[in-house]
Amino acid sequence: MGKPSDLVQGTLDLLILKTISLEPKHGWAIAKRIQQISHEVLQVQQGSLYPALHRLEQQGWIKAHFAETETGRNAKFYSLTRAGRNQMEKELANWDRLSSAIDLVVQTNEA
Amino acid sequence: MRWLEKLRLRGRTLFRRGRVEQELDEELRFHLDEQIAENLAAGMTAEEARYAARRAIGGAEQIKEECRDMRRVNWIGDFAKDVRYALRILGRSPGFTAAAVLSLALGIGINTAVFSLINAVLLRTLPVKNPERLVVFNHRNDISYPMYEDLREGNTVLSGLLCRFTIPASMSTAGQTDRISAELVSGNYFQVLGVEPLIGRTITPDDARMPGAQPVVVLSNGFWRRRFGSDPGIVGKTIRLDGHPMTVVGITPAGFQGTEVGVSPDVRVPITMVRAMIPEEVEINSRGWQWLDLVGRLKDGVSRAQAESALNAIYMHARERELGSVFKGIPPSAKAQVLAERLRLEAGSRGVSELRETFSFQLWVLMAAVGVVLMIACMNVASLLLARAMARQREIAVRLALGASRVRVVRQLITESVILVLIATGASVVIAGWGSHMLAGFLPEGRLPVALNLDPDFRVLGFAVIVSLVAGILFGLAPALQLTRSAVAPALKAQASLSGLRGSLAFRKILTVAQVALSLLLLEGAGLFMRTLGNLKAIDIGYDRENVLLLELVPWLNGYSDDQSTRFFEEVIERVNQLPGVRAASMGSMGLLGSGLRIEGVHVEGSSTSQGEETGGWINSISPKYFETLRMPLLLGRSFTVGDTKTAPKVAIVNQAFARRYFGSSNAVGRHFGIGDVNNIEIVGIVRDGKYKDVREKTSNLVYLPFEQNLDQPMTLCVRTVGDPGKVTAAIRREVRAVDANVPIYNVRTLETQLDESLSQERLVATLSSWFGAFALLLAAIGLYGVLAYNVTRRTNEIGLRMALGAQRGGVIWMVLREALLLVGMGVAVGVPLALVLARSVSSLLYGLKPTDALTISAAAIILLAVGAVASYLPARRASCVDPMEALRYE
Repeated sequence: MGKPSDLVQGTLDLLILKTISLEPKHGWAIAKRIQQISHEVLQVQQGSLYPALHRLEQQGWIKAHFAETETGRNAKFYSLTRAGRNQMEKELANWDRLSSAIDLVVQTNEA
Repeated sequence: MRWLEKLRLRGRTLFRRGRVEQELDEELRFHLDEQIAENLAAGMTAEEARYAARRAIGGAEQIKEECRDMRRVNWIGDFAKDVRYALRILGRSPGFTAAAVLSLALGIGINTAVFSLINAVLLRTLPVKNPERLVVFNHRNDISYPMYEDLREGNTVLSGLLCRFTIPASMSTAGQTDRISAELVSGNYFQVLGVEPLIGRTITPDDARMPGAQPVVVLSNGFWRRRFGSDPGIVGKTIRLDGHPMTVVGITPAGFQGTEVGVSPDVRVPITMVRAMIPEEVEINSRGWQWLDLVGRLKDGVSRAQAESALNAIYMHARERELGSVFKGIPPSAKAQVLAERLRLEAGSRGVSELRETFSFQLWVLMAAVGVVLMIACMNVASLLLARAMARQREIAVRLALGASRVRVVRQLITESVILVLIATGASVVIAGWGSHMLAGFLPEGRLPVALNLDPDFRVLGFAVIVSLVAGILFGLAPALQLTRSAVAPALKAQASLSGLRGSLAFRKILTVAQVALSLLLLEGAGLFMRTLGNLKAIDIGYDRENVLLLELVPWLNGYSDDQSTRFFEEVIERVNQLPGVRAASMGSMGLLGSGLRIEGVHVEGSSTSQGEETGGWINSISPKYFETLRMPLLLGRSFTVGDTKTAPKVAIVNQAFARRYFGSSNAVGRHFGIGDVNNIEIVGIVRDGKYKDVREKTSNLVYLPFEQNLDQPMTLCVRTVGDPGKVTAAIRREVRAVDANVPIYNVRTLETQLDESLSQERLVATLSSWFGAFALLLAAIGLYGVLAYNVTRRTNEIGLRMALGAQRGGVIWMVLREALLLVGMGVAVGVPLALVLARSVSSLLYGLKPTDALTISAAAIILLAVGAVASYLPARRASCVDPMEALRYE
């Protein structure tokens, strides 16, 4: 298992919010989903995932409930709150701005 | 809405801890299981799958702890844990806990006690309406009632002016008689102050319209609680004050003690009831009876300066009228003096107080002293904590190694300190309450017992809290930082922890040196003050102080002419002399260690006066038998006799200082000199020098003149009694009243009390500073003992080795002793220059020695060295009893 790419400070929050924005997911599923969609580039360590989830919950961006998984086990599912959705929109806009700015700089240098 | 949800979550974490923990467990286990399932699906064996999954997850406990931290309320749980742990730790070493708590509680307690006293005497504002608008008068107790009325009615600058007079009284109800203090007040007293009654009504102007008409009394809150058990039914009942029935009409609110700080009258009576309360036949409407104390309230928009000049205009006018009519017998020189007097207004928000005038500086000096005591106490506790922390170094190293953060460990240690401070603060409240009353007991009692409001107010409580906090930080933080700085690995090894320890031990030694230095300051202070008091007590005042009663008479104020006054004095002396229990009685214009001395220019033929020396003499006009009464030795010549009348040749008796000053070594008896505009006075005798105004004074030139030839007033009647003067006081008063009941008697006291009171400041400072010095010494000794004892334990095997190699017991003892003396010596070396510099700031409180007095400072240093030697005795003995075999096996 390769070393996970270091995530830019604060982007883990955004990844989590985005990942659960469509439907509630448990921690394992969130980690897997991020891994899949990023074609295995982003590997979320459990050591950062769960503290992040608990922090987001405390901040009121996400809420947790226990439900059964497809395999019939009881697991803790996280879903976005309304405040969390607003927060996600804000962070997405921020991210867009930031990444396009970085693109600009990087491309100018190559030219 | 978000905050509501947040609050719910925090609450859940706090109060449903078990549930939250269980969920966290489940969540992480689920993750682990999924990882295992995935690994199995990838083709691993069951064991491989589990192992790989665990490795992928990493430290489950650390993740959990991080998740808990994210919940934000973790610190509350941590705090509760810290507190429980700290209590357990403190409980496990009761000796240490007791020593630390006791040092701190005493330190904080006496600081708060002294501050309570300062607060009560110097800082508290009167609990009345708008106290900042009150003004008090520098003329204390010397305004007549008619003068008061002139000032009250004539002014347009005050919204109110009250007068008051306090006296001891006796009260009887239901067959029980108590000695109490009473205050005679003008009818507007409560109105001017803006004080409402708790129950019933206050005294009103209607109560003070006619002399003797309204026998009503208002009880003070404290007296009502103390004496009548807060029974509201007392209002409307009758009590007897000095034998006169009076109706209780009301109770004052709690906290109100009147306008004089240090005096708390139990009852207040309309001033018009004065005849019932004062044994002399007082004529309230007489301008000769000058006795009242005034307090005014400024009108809005009027400044104190404006009020002062407006009131002085009225005062001067009234004075001139008085001198033209009732006081017409007063000689011109005295008249000028009376006319030169002015009223001066001072801010009255804190009331008036003789204590404040006398003791301000002394109280601050004592505050500084107890501040130093507290510093020593804090150092002791810091040293104790350090010693204990060293013993716990391994425990802390283990905790650091197991992943506790440094902040977390420091927090734990600080929690322990905070708990110590809290317990100590609690105990100090008790000590402060008890201590402040004890300290107040050292204040000199005047005519009435000292009664201060020592109840803690916000200022005292704030002070205690701040002092405790500062103390806690002072002694708590240093050890905690010191401890966590030490490296983990060496501390874990059994004996290799010396590097960390050595740093702490050095720190403890520095603390000990500082303690010794600070103790030296206190000892030096105590020594200087004790010796000052001793010097003052040992002063030879030049006459016999025992069994002498003094009282003042001013018949001028009753309109007496000089001749009438002379006859009055002669008759009083004759009558008092015939009383049983009286050895001798005579009069002098000198107040004897009080007021009443007048200085006059002296001219002597052939004497040089150009050397810039004092060219005058104090004048004391006396009756015959004055020297006999006071037992002042007449060295040469004769005493005055009844023959030295107004018309006889002018004669004088002078003291040694006068004779030396003007006549050198030649015999002064028979020589002539002049005083003021009187010439050709013959010296007929020389008496021994004495102290006249104050025991601290340098001996002045004094001239005694026969009072018939040089009448002055007030005159002080001096009565030497056979036994206790108190037994004949009433009889003496009776004799004076028998001559003329209208002449007021002022200032009755014994010479002994007069002398005692003049030393009350020195006594207060000397007594208290030596207590504080002793306390500081004890603390420093404990600190030194702790360091030495620890050091001996630490060096047990070294000592054992030395003894195995042939070191003698004496040598071992000397080794420990040398260390003690070195520490004390360093402390003394630091303390001596500091003490010498600081002593200069209290030089105004010293008498008969310099602040740099060598004897005092060396005595202080020797005491410290001796105490250091005593403190080191036990550790030294233990070191010398080390069994070499035992010590070497110890490793």
